[in-house]
Amino acid sequence: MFASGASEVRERPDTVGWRSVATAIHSMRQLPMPMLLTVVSSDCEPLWVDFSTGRYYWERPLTAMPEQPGGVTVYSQPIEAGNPPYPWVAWRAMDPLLWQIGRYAFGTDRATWMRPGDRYALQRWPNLTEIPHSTEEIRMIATLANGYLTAQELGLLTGADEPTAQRVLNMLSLMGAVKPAGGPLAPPAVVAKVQAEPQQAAAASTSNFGFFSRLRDKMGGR
Amino acid sequence: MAEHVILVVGPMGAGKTTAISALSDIDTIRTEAVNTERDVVDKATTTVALDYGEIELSPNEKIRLYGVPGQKRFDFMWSILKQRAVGMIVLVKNDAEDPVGDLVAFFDEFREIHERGGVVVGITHSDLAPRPTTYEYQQIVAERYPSALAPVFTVDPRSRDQLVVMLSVLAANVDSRAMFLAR
Ligand SMILES: Nc1nc2c(ncn2[C@@H]2O[C@H](COP(=O)(O)OP(=O)(O)O)[C@@H](O)[C@H]2O)c(=O)[nH]1
Ligand SMILES: [Mg+2]
Repeated sequence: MFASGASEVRERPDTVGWRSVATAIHSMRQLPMPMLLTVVSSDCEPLWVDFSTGRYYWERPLTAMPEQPGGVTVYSQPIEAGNPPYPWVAWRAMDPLLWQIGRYAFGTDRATWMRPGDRYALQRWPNLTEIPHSTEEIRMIATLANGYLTAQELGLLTGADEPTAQRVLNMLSLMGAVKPAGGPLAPPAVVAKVQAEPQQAAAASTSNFGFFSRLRDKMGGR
Repeated sequence: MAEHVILVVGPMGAGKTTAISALSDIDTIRTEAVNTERDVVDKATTTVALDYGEIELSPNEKIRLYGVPGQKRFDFMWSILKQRAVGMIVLVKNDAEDPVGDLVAFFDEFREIHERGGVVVGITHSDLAPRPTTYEYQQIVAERYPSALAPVFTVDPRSRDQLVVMLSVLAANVDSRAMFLAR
């Protein structure tokens, strides 16, 4: 997609590949007609994403997804509704794919379609029994389930740093699992409360999530 | 002693007994519903499939897990338990005749738990019946209960790891909700 010698592009050589795929996926989600996305890379087998059924096909397990695929090109084509492409291959639900692409695409930078200071809230839970996740990520998702937050506030309430919170917002946003607030909103009261007590902010992960933390300690889980 | 009562509800065969015995620290107490001979002999006795398990978080904090049967005629038991429950795991058997109807029935019945604490939906037997998908269930929940943002996960109750994910999310939701309500 980019000339590999261009020095401006090489500033972020680690994220360019999935970055362009993530941006294409995000745009494709906004289209009202069913689309098929094909990703071709010099390092991997072709990847198909069928937005009409929310599934993907890749001849490679997600655990073998390279963090920096080389020479990525993205193709899109409209498909017929009710007539899913390539019915003979084993399509899989696309959440785990998008979760993983979202993790690599922007690093801890903001996804290209998100704006600084925007507030997001969860609109659906990702299927966490099928995607690899951390204890910190559960805390963040559960927090977004109860209010509209910026990345900075999300970090504050869960004891994560802002870049980590931004990355989780990127992942959820790529999956369509969070929605932005419709207009300017005041922060939830709990944000001001935690800000006023910096010592509490530092320990937010255990003080705000006591039951959860004790359960994780007992039952295991990263 | 701090206690967290969590109900595990769902139709027969959904995986309640399997789930509670995988999670519990103690040997689970279970009773089965069907005792044909006894039913014939003694019509006055109604048996009920009930499970009970415990998870000790510390010497003075405990989770009590109650597996509650789906049959409507036992709703006197539900009403006692649901007043005390902080959370609920709804198990839906995906290869049942009307799994969406089952989910809706349990959701309606135990709504107040959702409003108070945490509800997590687990779709079992999805290895045998892949549809409806979690996404389809979530659409239904969102349409019927616009304020409810219940997690819907696929779960095989024979996998302790997956059950731990469900229980963790339930606990994180209870904590998160309390955090936003605290003043
Ligand atoms: N294949 C499959 N079997 C399951 C699953 N969940 C539960 N089972 C089996 O279904 C049967 C009924 O489970 P049980 O825990 O007794 O259901 P209960 O009636 O809700 O207590 C047991 O044999 C379980 O091993 C699942 O997700 N897939
Ligand atoms: Mg049982």
